[in-house]
Amino acid sequence: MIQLRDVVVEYPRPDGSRIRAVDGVTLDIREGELVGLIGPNGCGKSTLVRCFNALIRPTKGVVLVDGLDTRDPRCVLEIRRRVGMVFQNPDNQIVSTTVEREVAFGLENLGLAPREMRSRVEEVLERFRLREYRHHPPHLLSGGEKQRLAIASVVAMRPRYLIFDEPTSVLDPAGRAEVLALVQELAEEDPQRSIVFITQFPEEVESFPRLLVMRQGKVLLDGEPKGIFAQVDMLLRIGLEPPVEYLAESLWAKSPLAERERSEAEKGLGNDDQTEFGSIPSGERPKPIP
Amino acid sequence: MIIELERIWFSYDGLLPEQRPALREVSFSIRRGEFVGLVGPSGSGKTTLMLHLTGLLKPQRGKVLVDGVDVNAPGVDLVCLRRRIGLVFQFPETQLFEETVWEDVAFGPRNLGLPPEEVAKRVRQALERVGLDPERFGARNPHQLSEGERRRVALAGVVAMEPEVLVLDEPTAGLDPQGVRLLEQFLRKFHSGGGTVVLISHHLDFVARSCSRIVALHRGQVVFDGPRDAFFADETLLREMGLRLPRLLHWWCTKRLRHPQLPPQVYSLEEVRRVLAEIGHRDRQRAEAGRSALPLPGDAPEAQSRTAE
Repeated sequence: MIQLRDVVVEYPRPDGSRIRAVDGVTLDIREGELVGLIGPNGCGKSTLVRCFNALIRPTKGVVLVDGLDTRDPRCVLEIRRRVGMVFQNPDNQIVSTTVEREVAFGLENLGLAPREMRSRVEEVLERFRLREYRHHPPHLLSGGEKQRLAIASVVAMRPRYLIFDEPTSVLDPAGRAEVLALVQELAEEDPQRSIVFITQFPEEVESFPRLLVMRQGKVLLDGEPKGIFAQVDMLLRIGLEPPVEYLAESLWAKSPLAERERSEAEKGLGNDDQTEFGSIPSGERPKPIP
Repeated sequence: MIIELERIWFSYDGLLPEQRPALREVSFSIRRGEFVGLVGPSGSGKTTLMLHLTGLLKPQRGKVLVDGVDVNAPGVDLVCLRRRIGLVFQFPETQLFEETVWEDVAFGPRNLGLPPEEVAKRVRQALERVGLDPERFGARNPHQLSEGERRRVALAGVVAMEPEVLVLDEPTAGLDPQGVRLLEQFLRKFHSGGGTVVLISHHLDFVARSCSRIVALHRGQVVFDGPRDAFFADETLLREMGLRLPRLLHWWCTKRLRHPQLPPQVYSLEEVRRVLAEIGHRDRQRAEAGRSALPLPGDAPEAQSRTAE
């Protein structure tokens, strides 16, 4: 479990004053959780998750990773082994000259025996469908493939916690879809692995069980995406846009048709479960034209 | 201006286009003032096709005609052609290279050999059109701007050439909703000012609310060319191409299951708002006409036509 207690992070400004990027966050990331994190630009999302693996140490408050304190220099290595991080742009993360070496890089730093290292590299190349590219230089891969490589290199170190800091925002649509599918797979294949996923696209985390919304250094909302996205007016006020269905649904709720539905439901005429948004199974897609 | 593609074949492998063709027998034309959406799954040939429009790639068979002139014929002025047809590549902000926003946008017009005052006028106008205040942004380093702002600088660089046609490849990739909205406003203005737009995008909600005509590519072939309504009604085709309905349209269809009197297709929140407001208006009219009981959705057609009179 990652535990944050009253975490405050301040940065110095050039003029000597301080800016508070994270402002008193208390939060638990439990074993096996898949958590989305959204918030307007500059709300402190990236700073917050950099506290998880001791890249940033809190100005005030405590961050514990499986009980290890990120302020304790003796714990930092172990914490970084447990908490793997994937950043926005794979070009800034990839350091090696071939795909294979990139996967091995982190393992070398863990000091693994060569035999163990080799078997993990093979396993990961296979798992992430990178075997055929093993001798390719990373810059010849597509954006989505590069991000897949960056994720593979982190997963090779077998972290318990995987943190994704906007891994889709510099990718083209195909790459975005690929990374999203991969994150879902990673969440499903290991029930102990916890994932925190930051994104600027709310629809990417729509299916996650838990969503955090940050604003001005604080966690404003914490819950199921459906309930959060339904608070349309509030989200728009803080500069976030829920997926378009929720915007449309809020227009609908004020329309005479919604009133009719409500009065029919009171009279017991309607079958409400059918039209309530989101409850129609995706297999039974309605026809757009009669 | 009219762009005509005539039975184009192209393969990246070389001269035998039958082997792994990226484009197969592609024919369609783009007329002045159109707003065309070019859609298709990844790898269907959209970007390859775009590169043919200004002679950046040459078809191995077939012709690209602009105003009746084969763009690949010897002696054709490609510089002039590329000024008239502005291509906005995917992630165009990666091509910014000057030290200030102003210089970057001025690069193209200056290369046209325009006098300095004309260059200045164009840079100013282009920045304004993409929503960047020239006073505020002109002197700034483009590399220190946000992603969305840099995208707009790159777009301004193309706009400053005053093209008649804009072809944009995935212009929304990586943009937040606010960035998408600004782009949309810009394109709408460009179009209403007489410009022609070809929009290549996976963002089907964006395509659906912007484009009146859709050309769909699948495995290098044109599998659909026609009005937007017909495209989004063809579920089988969409499924074959691995595309989903626009999200808003899908939501609307779930509503129509219970309210079949609703119009079959909407593409934007403004349309949803308008349709719902019309229903509200009609209900009020009916109430004023003395019908106290609200009609049930099922009896709508008759009742509607009566109130319409």
